[in-house]
Order: sequence, then structure tokens, then C-alpha cells
Amino acid sequence: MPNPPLLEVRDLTLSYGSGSKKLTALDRVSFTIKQAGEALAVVGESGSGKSSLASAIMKILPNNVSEFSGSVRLNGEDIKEMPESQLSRSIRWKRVSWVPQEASAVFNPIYQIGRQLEETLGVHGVRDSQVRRAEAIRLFQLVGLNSESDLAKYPSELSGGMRQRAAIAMALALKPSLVILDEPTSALDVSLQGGIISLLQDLRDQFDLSYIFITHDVVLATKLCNSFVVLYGGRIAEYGSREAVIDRASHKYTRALLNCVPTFEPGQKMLSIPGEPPDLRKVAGRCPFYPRPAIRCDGCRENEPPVLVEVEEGHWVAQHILSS
Amino acid sequence: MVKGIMRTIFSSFLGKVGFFLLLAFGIAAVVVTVVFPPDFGQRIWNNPVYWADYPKTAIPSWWPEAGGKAQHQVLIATTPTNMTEEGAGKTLEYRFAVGISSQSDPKFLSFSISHLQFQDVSPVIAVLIEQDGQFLPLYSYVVPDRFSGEKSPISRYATEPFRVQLTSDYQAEGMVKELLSGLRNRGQDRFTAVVRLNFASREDSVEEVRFIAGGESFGWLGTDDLGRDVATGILAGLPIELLIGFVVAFSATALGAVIGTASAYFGGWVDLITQRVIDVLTMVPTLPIVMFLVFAFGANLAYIILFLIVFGWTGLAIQIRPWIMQIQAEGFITMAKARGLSDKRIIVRHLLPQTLPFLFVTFTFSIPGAILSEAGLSFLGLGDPSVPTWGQMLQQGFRTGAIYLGYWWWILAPGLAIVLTSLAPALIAQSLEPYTEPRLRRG
Repeated sequence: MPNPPLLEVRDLTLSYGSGSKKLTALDRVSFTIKQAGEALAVVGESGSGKSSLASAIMKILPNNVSEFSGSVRLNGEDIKEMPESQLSRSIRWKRVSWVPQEASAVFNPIYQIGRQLEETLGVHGVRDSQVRRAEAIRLFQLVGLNSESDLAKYPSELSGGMRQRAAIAMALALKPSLVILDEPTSALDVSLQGGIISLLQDLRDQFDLSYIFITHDVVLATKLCNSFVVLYGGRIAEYGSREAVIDRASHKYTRALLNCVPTFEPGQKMLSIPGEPPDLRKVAGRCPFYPRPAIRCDGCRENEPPVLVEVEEGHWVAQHILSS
Repeated sequence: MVKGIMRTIFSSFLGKVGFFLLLAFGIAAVVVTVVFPPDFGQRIWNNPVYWADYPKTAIPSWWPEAGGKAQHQVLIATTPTNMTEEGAGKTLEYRFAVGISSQSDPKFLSFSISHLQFQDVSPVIAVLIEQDGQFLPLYSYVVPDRFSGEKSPISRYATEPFRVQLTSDYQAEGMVKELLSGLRNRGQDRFTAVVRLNFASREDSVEEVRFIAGGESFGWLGTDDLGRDVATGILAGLPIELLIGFVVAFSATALGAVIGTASAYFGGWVDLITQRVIDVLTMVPTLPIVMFLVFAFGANLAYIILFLIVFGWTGLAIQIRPWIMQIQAEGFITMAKARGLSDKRIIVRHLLPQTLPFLFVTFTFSIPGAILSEAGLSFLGLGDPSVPTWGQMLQQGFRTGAIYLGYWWWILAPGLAIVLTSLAPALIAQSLEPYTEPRLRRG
């Protein structure tokens, strides 16, 4: 029997609130990361459900979640069915860790960074304080920070780029197999982005890490990821390998998104997608593309929810089955 | 944080005043706790026998109005000045240096002896006054012998001291007067009184001997209608007031912070139930219900403290809940959960520390509240009778009509004491405001 995939997400649906306020952030989202070392990009505009995906995989959800269905299997085990204590003890940070969008928000502002790193090690069973200290130093060296002075600093004393590196060090503390990167470079200068991306590439190669790279920057994602999920209105618009989604994009929305990538050509008109993403409170059971004429296709006219169709092996595209 | 708090306190004048006032009270409370017997309330304060030698409602002796009146003196000895052993017996000598007022003579002289124990032969008591190396006998007495069937050691005056008025007859009074005027003319300000006890056995003993020079003014703060020294009562009450203030304020603050935080953190039904409980506790009028509870369970200090805590934490819990909700929305709490930290750790290490300065100020502000609540209960007659509290002193004064009769020291002293002990933490809390409200910061 083949090994179960590292991460298998099936029909993941996540809604907040109820009644007329019910907001479906994720609607039957499915994808797979087959083995260690693979990186999956989740691209989409703001409000497409990207960040909800991260918290759903960690199962850290706000109190107002009204629906959470489907399955999230890590090496075959469904984390949705696990009790909270087991999640805290053996899943969170041990197998899946997280670098959130705002690196400044990773750390509690009132404690030194080194202390928080050591806290993470401590609550997961590293009792010896000297071992914790040595491990913190090793992690800081790994991400290119000065382990002597920076460990003793408070979060506010580090620059944005350094904080992001510290956040990555924190994410690697317990040697997880999967790291969720939630827009890890969006708050950084372009000159610093490259450094972070190449650090992430090195770490992936060195430790066989898998990433879920949540971003709105398609170009950056192609540097790191070998498969792509394009999210729109909480649904998958297109899903497949990098080559399939980037080179042979077949959904109208994916192509529009790729067209927006700027080039150096002077005088070139910057493109955008007219309209705005759909109101997630209104698209449940409807076609998310219908409210936005720029990406509406013939099939959207009936405002029926689209289905994912496998157009070539491993390349799925949201389409409408037209009843003839 | 401690440094920041201290700096803020010392940066304002009122903060300094509050701090040193509280420090002085704290030191005084420690001294009182060490010096006063643990059963002071029951054995001494609320025991009229103990105060029988003291004048009733005597004015403080430093008060100008008391100028013409003799100071009442109660000299207490528990160990003899001299002990001589002869044969099988012994003689104990208690010497008392009695002050002489320049204007008036003592109203009377008396002495008392409590709890004598002897084997077979009755001890002999003699009271003398020393003059120019001579002893003038004033009084002598042979303690009643063994009653039939009484077993050794024989005990006398255990429940009520043996008390003798030395100047009750003309002869004695005249002799004392003569003696005192002689001494006064020679410029002496005191005379020596001696109580001598002759015991037939060395195992015989006596607990306490007192010599009293009667007067109408007494001590720093006068006495109440039972002859109790108000100053002693104020001192004895200090550690109890501080205990009530600190224990109630600390417990209520801790309880309010933890419950409010848990309510916000866990949300759902935990939040719902907590909020309803708080609603009920806040809506119930605290004083009447605490009065009822004290009435039902008995006026015991521990219960009173418990009730004040139970009804004291809700305000903070209401205040802190939305604040915790706000902190929780910050990324680092989500990250703390993602890092696999337990709920307890997140609450104690990551949520509560953010509110610590505020909690400290709340704690300081609740100390006077607790002291005043207990005083209020005591004033209504619901204080614990086994411990002296200022509220009870006020209540007794009020009940006996001290205000109308002009015994101001009896009302003013405990009243001022309550005000000052409440004021000290309130001043500190006031000076700490800039610590939690950055807009008030100067420089």
C-alpha cells in the first residue's frame, strides 16, 4: 500500500455566522500535497479565503464558525476529528507550523524573542534549559540572524526583515514537515523578499520541508512552488502543477490574474481585473464568477455553482456542465 | 514593571505621601502583631475585668482641657523587681515608680493582684511607700487560707483580680497627701510604691501585680466607657484593617482578572454562564445581602472577608473582558495557540501580563473599599467581636452617645484611622494613573 499523502484536503468547507449573515469562506476546497519537499502555492485576491485556509488546516478557528466540514488528513489522520489536547500536543507546531502575514504579530511584544522560542521548545517537552538555549541559537543561525544579540531583543527592536527571519526560525523550532507561509514577504521591501525566498528554498532542500505558500504574488510563488491552487470567492478556480496552471492556464480568472503581473516594458499599460471579488455572504450555492463580468464565461450565465473538471491529468479547472 | 511602578509613584508628591504612609502603617502593623498577644481581642480588649483599673471616658492627657486633671496611671508588672529566698520560702518585691502631677494629687491609690497560687501556707501581701530609704506601710493582708477540701496548689483571684483601694479611709488618704506634698515641695516628680509578697514555698507564684494612681485623663487617646485605652484599640486594629484591605483587594482582583479573562478567552457557554453570574452578583444590593449572610453564618472575620471577596470581583471581570477580547484578536495569541501552548499558559503568560499595570492599580484602589466595607459592617453591629476593629469602636461610641456627650477622642480616633489607612493606598493608586493612562504622562 502506498504511503498516505503528507496532506490531503477534501471538500473543506468553512462558514462563519448563520442566517443572512452566513459567510462561506471556503467552499468544497480539495488539494493534496503528496510528499515531503513539495510546495503548494495558494494564490488569489484579498477575500478569496486564503487565510481562512491556513487557520482551517491548523484548526484554530474563531468562535463564530458555523460549518466546518470535509476532511484535513495529515499522513492519513484526520485532524478535524482530533481532540483539542491532541492537536496542541502532537500536531500544532510539531507537524504543521505557521509563518503568519504580520511577522510583528508572531511574537508577544512583552517578552524577548529568544524567550518565546525557548517557550515553544519547553511546552513541547524540551526540559533542559541549556538544550533549549542551544537549540534557539542553532535556529537563529539557520535563518541568518545574530544568535548572540538578537535572541535577547524584544520584537519591536528588530527590523521587519529580521522579524520575518525570526518568525521562520520559530516555525522551524520543532522540525515540522509542513510550514504554512501566509504572505511571508508581503510586508517587506522587494530587496528583502529575495533573501527570504532563497532562505525558504534552502531550508526546503536542506530539511525536505513542504510549504503551503499563501500569496497574491504569482511571480514569487513560481520561484518556490511546484503546484498551484487558484482560489476565487472561497472556491478553487484552477488547481494543478506549476506548468499546468502557469503555462497552460485555462480558467478565465487565472489568465486574467497572470495578465496583471507587471513587466519592465516602459509604457506598457498596467492591467487589472475590473470589478471586485464577490461578497462571500452571497455566493453560496451560486457561481462566484457571475457577479464580475470581466471573468464571467458563457457557462456562468445560469448562476449555477461550477464544478471542478480534470482537463488533463492532475489539472483541474472550475467549469460549468452545460445542460444541452 | 516594578521599576516603572515605583518610578511613577515617586514622581508625584501625593504618591510619595501615600507610599510612606502605607509603609509606616505596614511597619506599625508588624510591630503590633509581634508585640500584642494573639488572643488580644478576646482576652484583653473585650474583657471588662482587664479594664476595671482604668478610668471610664477619660480625656487624652495631652489635651489642654485635661491640664488640671490628674493623669490616671496603671502600672503593670508581671515579673518582680527583687526576689529574695529565705529558708523554704521567698519574698517577691514589685516596685512601681508613680508619677506626681505638679497640680493635683491622684484621686486614689489602689493595687491589684491576679492569679495567686500557693502550696499550703497563705502568702502575705504588703503595700508600702518608700520615703528617704524608709518604707511606710500602707496596707497588709493575709490571703485566705485553704478551704476545707481544697487541694494544693491552692489558687486565688484567677478569674477576678484581688483589688484594694488603698486610700479609702481618712487616715491613709491624709498620709498619702502629706507624703506627696512633701515630695512635690522637694521638686520630685515621682514616688516609689512597693508591693511585697511573702511566700512560704518557692513554688508559689503570682501572675500579675498592678499599681494604680487614679486620675481623670489618660494616655494619648483617652478611654471609652468601659475604661478601654482607645490608643491600644487603634493599634490593635491596624493589622486587622490592613489584613482585610489587602486580602480582600488581592483576592477580588485576582478572581476578577482570572474569571473575566477566562470568560473572554473561552467564549461560548463559559462566557454566557459567567456573564449571567456576574449580572446576578452585580444586581444584588451588596450591603443588605452581606448583612444577611453575616447574620446567618455568624460574625466571623473569615466569613466577612469571604463575603466581601465574593461580591467584590465582578466589576473588574466586566471591565477586563472586552480588553482581553481585544488582545486576543492580536496575532500573537493565535500564534500561541498554533504553537501548541495550553489554554492555561496562554491566559497566564500571554493574556494577563498585558493587563498587569491596570490590575495593580485596580488592586490598590480596592484596598480602601474593603476597609470601608468592613467598617460599615462593624458600624452596623456586624463586626467580628473576637477582634477589635475601628468600625466596632465607632459603633460602640455611636451607640453609647459619645458624640452628644463630648467624648470626641472616642469617635475621632478610629474615624481618622480609617480615613488615613484608606487614603494611603488611594493616594498611591491616584499617583499610578499615568502608568495606565499614557495621556496623563508628564515629561
